Amino acid sequence: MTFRDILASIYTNYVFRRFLFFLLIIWIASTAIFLIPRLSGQDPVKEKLLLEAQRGGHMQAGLEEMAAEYSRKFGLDKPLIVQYGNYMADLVRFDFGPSIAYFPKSVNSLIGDSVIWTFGLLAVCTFIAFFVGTIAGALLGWPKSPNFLQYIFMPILTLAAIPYYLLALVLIYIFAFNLDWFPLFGGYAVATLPEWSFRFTFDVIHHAILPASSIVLASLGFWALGMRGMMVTNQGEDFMIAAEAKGLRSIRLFFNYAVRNAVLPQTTALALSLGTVFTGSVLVEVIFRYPGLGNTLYQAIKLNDFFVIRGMIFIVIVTLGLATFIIDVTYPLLDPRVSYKKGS
Amino acid sequence: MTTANKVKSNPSKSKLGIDVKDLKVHYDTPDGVVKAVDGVSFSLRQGERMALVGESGSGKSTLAMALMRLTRAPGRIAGGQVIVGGRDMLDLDEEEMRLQRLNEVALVPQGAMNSLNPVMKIKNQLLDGLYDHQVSGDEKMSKEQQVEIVEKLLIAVDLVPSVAEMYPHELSGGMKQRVAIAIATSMEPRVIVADEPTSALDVVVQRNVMQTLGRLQEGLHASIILIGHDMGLVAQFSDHVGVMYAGRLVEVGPVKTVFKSPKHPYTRLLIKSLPTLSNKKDFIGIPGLPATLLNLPEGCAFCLRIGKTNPNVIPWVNVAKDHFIQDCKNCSSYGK
Repeated sequence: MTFRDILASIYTNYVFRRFLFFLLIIWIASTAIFLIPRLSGQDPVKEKLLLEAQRGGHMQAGLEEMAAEYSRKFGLDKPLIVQYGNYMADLVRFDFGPSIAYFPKSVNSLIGDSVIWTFGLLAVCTFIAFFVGTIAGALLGWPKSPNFLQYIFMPILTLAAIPYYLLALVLIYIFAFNLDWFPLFGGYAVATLPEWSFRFTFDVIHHAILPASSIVLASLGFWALGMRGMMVTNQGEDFMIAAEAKGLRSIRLFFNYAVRNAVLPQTTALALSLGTVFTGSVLVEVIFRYPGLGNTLYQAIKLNDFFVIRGMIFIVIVTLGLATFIIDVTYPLLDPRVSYKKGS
Repeated sequence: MTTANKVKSNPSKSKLGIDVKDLKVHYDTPDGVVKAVDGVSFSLRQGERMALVGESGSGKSTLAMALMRLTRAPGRIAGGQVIVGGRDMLDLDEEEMRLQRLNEVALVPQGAMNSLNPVMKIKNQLLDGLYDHQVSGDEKMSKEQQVEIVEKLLIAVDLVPSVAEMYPHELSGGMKQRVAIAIATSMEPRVIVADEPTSALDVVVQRNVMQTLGRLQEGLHASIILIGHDMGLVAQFSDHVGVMYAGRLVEVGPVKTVFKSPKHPYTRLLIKSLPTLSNKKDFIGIPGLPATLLNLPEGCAFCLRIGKTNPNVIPWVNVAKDHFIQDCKNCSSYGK
């Protein structure tokens, strides 16, 4: 095999091509974040200084020089292409600069502090909702399921019609305010420091139950209804009738034939919803004042903390791209009709 | 098949393959009862081939599903008997019936294009039926045994053993139907129900697939019930033919005599409607539309179609050796 052949085989490799595509998405999206604010034609430094000047009475003297100095500091005086080069260089090193509101804390450490909370809460909730919802939907869409399941699951599924933030408010009112079973807000008790101890872990779980319930209850219906629909559609497929004519055990019919085929579109939806995990439930974090990314993003927007916002958007792009990449690479294992091979 | 642990309900194979008595399949609708299969009776000896023909909506496929006891709601088997191996399958409980499927009665499904699970390898689809019919307590099949069984089943339907590792989408329509036949014959059933097994295939493949099915059926000495509306295929393949109209059998007999001298007016028109090379004139159809099965009165359904008075009671008459018709005095001479 010549070097050229090796290159060709790498290029035609499915995973490699998907990875290139993943990088391409990130590049295009981050270029868009760079360009869109600059298309407005406004000078952010000057705008900000003018605003400050108006607040503190008219002090026009030295404003121009100040603006020029700040622009130099932020590198905004350089030609667009140089700015773009610097910006990309920063992104490649995952350097998003300092936070404006919490100066001199860096955007990285701000995001780093909150990412674990969001990931812990939302990724876990998404998986719980996915598994419980999919199993519930599969049972609801299976003609041989006992009837009582209908009476248990159907009322729960109607919760899907309620937005999760409303559900969150109702849960807070009932379980935190009236019954006082759970804390009103926060990720852990005030006046404690995060540490790896049994006591602290219990405290975190205690704080997470209400926000988690509101997210899980509100998204359960989405998964269950999607799965039930696919199960019912599958019932009419020829292969289901043929499989029943083979005299297979119900359990095999259910898992290997009905669920196995119905779950395919569900996994695509799971990947997409995992991609938005970091910003998916901003409102829940805000309502519960949960120390996660959503809350940090909310604060950053309120305080015009541009660098934090930019860092967050980049994180969203990367996670969404990564989730799509993972599903692209794993899907052929799930559905043999989608092949790794090019052109087949 | 020696390795699959078979549980035959009756070890001494009786001469009778399948005996269907007064089988009724009804659909309950808000407007009334639809009698999709209305009192069908026939019996087949082992090794015999019978075809059921009729227009679309005459109840052929509903009958096929009922023979497997796979009638789905809102349909229900409203009465009758389906006796295979000395037992009435309609009397069995669900689990007993499940064990009968594939072991005693097997289905070669219609529309073979989608009859295989798209996400399972062929070998697993050949084996899972065998797994689920093993008597509990039996040892699991070894890897070598599995490979051996799969290979044997595939070769028997003229497929190469490498097909075992493939997925259904990698096979052609004819190959898929061969796999379906391999599955249906994997437990040496007493009865094979083939519901338009070649409807999606072109004629050359159709012929090959039917030959394979016929060869296997002869080897197993099984009875086969072929459902189809392709009269040419039926004439070539089967020994006996049953003509269905409006959910009822109207004529049953040996293929040769029925085709040569059909006695029921419906059969006559059905055979006449076949286009031939020597007769290139307009297609000859059957006047009127197939009967609506909703609240269909007793008696002769065909009289209603051609606008004659329905005599309400019509007898079965033996017109020749093994050749029976529903003899209706009002329409029997129609279309002669």
